[in-house]
Order: sequence, then C-alpha cells, then structure tokens
Amino acid sequence: MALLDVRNLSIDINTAQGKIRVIDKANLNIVDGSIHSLVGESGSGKSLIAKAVLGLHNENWIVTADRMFLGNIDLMKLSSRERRKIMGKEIAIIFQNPRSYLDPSKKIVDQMREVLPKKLSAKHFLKKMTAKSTHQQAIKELLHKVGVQNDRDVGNSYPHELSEGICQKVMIAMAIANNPRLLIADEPTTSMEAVTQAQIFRLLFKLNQLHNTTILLLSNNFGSISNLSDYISLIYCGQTVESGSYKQIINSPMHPYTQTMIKTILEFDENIAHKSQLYTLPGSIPPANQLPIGCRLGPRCPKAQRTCVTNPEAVNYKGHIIRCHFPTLDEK
Amino acid sequence: MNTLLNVNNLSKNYRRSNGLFSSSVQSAYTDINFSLEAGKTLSIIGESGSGKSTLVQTIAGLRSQSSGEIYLHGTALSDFSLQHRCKSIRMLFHAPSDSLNPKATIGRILSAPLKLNSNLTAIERDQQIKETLSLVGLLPDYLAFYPNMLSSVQQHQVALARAMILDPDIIIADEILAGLDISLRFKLVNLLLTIQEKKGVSYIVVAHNMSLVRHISDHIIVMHNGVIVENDTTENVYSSPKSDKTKHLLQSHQPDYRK
Repeated sequence: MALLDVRNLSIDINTAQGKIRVIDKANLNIVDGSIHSLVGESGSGKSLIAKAVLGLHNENWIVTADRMFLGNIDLMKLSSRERRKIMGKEIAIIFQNPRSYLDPSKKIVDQMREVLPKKLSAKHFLKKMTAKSTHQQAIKELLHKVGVQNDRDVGNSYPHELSEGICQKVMIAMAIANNPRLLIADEPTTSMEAVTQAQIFRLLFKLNQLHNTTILLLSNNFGSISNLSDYISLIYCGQTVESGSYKQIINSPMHPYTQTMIKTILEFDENIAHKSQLYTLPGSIPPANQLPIGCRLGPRCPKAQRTCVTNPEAVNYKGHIIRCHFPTLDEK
Repeated sequence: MNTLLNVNNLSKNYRRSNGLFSSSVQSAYTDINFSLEAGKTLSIIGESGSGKSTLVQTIAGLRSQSSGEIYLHGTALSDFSLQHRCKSIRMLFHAPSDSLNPKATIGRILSAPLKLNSNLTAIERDQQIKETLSLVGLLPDYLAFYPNMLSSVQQHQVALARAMILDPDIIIADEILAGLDISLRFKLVNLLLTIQEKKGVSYIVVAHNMSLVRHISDHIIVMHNGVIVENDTTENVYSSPKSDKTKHLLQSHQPDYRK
C-alpha cells in the first residue's frame, strides 16, 4: 500500500530571470514500511521535493501536483494550518548539519520537551508536577532508542558541546517522538566521517526494521545508501530519471545516469586498475537558470541523439519507471 | 628507492593552563615515523581527533613540532628557509571557498606565490600561470574571475593550481574530497592522478572515503589517538589489516544491511 503518493509534482520558482521550473513532473510512490531513497547530486532538487511534501515552501514557489496523498489525506487541499498539524505528527524531517537546526541557546532536554506529544503535557497545576518526571522518562527513553547511552549528560548539554553525530541522533530522537508515519531524512550524514555515518544509517535501518517507520532518504552518494534501501529513485536536475526497487536498479539499470551512479560504487573485484582514471560523465551540472531543454541530461549523456531535445515520457516496466528515449533494455 | 620525505620521531604537545599556576600537557601526536617516496601517494586515515590534521599541518609548516625532525631530500626542514620550504611543500585546504581570497581575482591569487618566492619577470610569471591553469584544466579566461564566480570544483582546481604553480615536490591535501558530491569527487581524483603522472609530484592525503583512498594511494597510515597503529602498503592494509582500529574503519565503510 502506498503511504505517500505524489504524481506529476512540479515546482516553479519566480526569480529575477523569470519563472524557472526546478522540479519537472516528479513522481514518488512510497510503500508503507519501506526505505525509499531519493538520490541526486547537490542542486538536483531533492530537498525541494521533501519541502514541498512537507509544506515548508515559501511564497514565490508555485507547487502543482496531479495528486499528493499521504495515506488517504489529500495534502493539496489542506490549508497551511492543517498542514502544520500534520508536520511533526505524521511526517517528520531530519536535516543535514544538525547543529545548525538545533537551538544553540537551549539545553537538549528543553528542546526535546517541546516536541513531546501533547497528551504528555498537562494543563492542570497538580498534574504539572508529575508531568515533569514523565517528560524526563520519555526523553530518556527516546535518547536510548537512538543509541545515546549517557542520556543525562547529553540532555544537560548545549548543541555546541556535542559532536555532529550525537546532534544528528538527538534530531532523530526529536523526529520520532510523535511516532510519525513518514520520516524524511534530508542528507542526514553529509560532512560526517565514515564511522559516524555508518552509525546513523544503521540507526535509521533499525528504526525501519523494528518500528516499521517508513523512511524517505535523500542522499547524494549512491554507494552509501543503495544497500539499505528497498526502493530507489534517481533525480537529475529536477527530473526523475529512473525509479524502481533495489534489485531492479542494481541488476538492470536502464538509464545512462543510473549506470554512471552505479559505477561510483568502486568494487575492486571488477578489475579497476590502481590509480586509473575513474568513469565520470563529461561536463558538469548546469546551473538552474541555464537548464537545457528536453531531457536535461542531454548534453552530458553518452547516448544522446537528436530526439533528446524533447522531454521523454515516463515508461513503466513492471514498476520500474524510466524516462529516457534510449534505455538499455534487457535482451531477455 | 630514493626517499623524498622522512619523518623522524615527530611529537607535538600542547600546554594547557588549568588555573593560575598549574598546567597540563596534552599530546596531539607522539613518535610519528614514516617516509614517502617521490611520485607516490601516502594516505593518512583515522577517526576525527586522532591527530591527522595537526600532523599534516606540521609537515606543511603551519605548526611547529615539539620534538623530532622532518627531512626532505635528506636535509632537515628546520634548516630550510621559509621560502625554500614553501616551494617544496604546498598544502590544499578543506574548503577552497575559505582558502581563496574573495577580493582577489584568480590571476592575482596565482601570481602571489610567484612574486613572493621566485625571481621571475612579469612575462615569465604570466607564462607560468597559463601553463599551470591548463595543467589543472581551466581556461585562461578565468584569470579575471573572482573565486565566488566559480563552482566548487573549479575553486578546487584554482587551489590546486596555486599549489602546483611553484612546482613543489609534495602536495598535502587535507580532506579536500569530503565536501564534494561523488561524481565531482571522481573528477578531482582524476585530475590529481593526471597531475601526478605528468609532474611526478607526491601527495599526502587525509581522507575518509575508504574506496577512494584505496584507489589513489600507494601507502597508508592509520592513526588513532595520536599514534600510528598501522603503516603499510595499500594492498596489505586492505587485504590483511592487522590492528583492530583498521578493521573497524574498514567495516564501517560499507556495511552490508541485506544479509
């Protein structure tokens, strides 16, 4: 069953140079209880999609979608106030650079208390006295859940006193406080070192396995997240290029861009000569105001031909959705 | 083999005052010994706080060591003049957007090291700058640009040009790959490899991405708490890691969730 169903999501942004279509007809279908990865390089619009789903966009964005459903709630029809109620309870988000998203002037416990579910906070004077210990208990449990052992020390610290990894764990604890149905992780491990990165990913994987939390994982590193995700969507310059299950993407990638991304996982059993040149696409990612028409990969694509100046339609091969005029199809 | 750089019993201690009269000594790294051959790449890996950055900054000359000595071509670095030293060892910093002067054009940024460290005339300088720019794959048009007009990879290319312009023996790269996207990382790695092939320069690389480290380096040093726990060729480190720390680092690199 689809938890989040987004169809033909487009985002236009009004700029000084006119309207720019930054997201072009993105589709997203997230199955309940799975980890869905959205992979794309920086500037490809991953965060924009996440923010549009959450309703965090500002005035000059024009968000249009044929369909945007969370379970059976139509997100497009809600007022921003109703949207706000869904935020945090149904959909929670964790950001990159956790330290900059935590309040630097407050201790961790005080910040966490703010996000605890409403039923825990009592209005009655007498209940307030008992509420404090319930809160502390709840915060302790949350911190233990995300693998922070010394909850008292961490709780009494300010964000700048903690390491980036611990801060991200606190962010995750705050995000899962209300048991959201969907957890969006927006590049949760950028600028972290390998060991901490693995810890955070293992934590997210465990949350998915044990508590059945659905996770939308955004990342720019195909290699580090492909292994833990059930479904993968690739996005290039605001166009979703390929989308399918882990097996479909890894075993039979059809889009040239996906094939490039898979080559970024350096497997040393396949003989890559030591110190040889690594495979990359020619050119670089175009800036948002100079996007090519048609398929945006066009100028860099090894398979590009004349028809690529028109935008390819999405084709669905048994759930493996692809947008390319010249996909690599299995001979079978 | 001819040894280019030889580091001998290098240690660094910081004195920290705790109170008015008492102070304690904290060591960043102790008893570091390694050597580097010409045209080879040495990678230093380890968790944060293990003293990697302080060590490479000492080799580059940004910090002084407490004891021990670094030898370049068999001569102690403390005997070198500052000019001579920065001609032979150059450093690339983590974020080029911070290390390039935002108020100077690329042309000015690149001519500064030549003006300070060489006796070239203006025409020769110009020639040298253009050669170096083409070496890192940039057009001469960029000379009039300011760093903020360039993309992150181009900024890295300019930083690399600034390092290469004096024809150094060693380039130290301190986590230059961490902030880039994976495909841009590949591009920069390709560039580093091409330059090494053309110019025979040696690299000392501090990095986190284990598979890239494996690809580019000939020799690996694993550091933990300021001590070298493993020092071997890349092949040996990856095929048969000896210390637990190395195993831990290798395991956490690409864990398998499916099995």
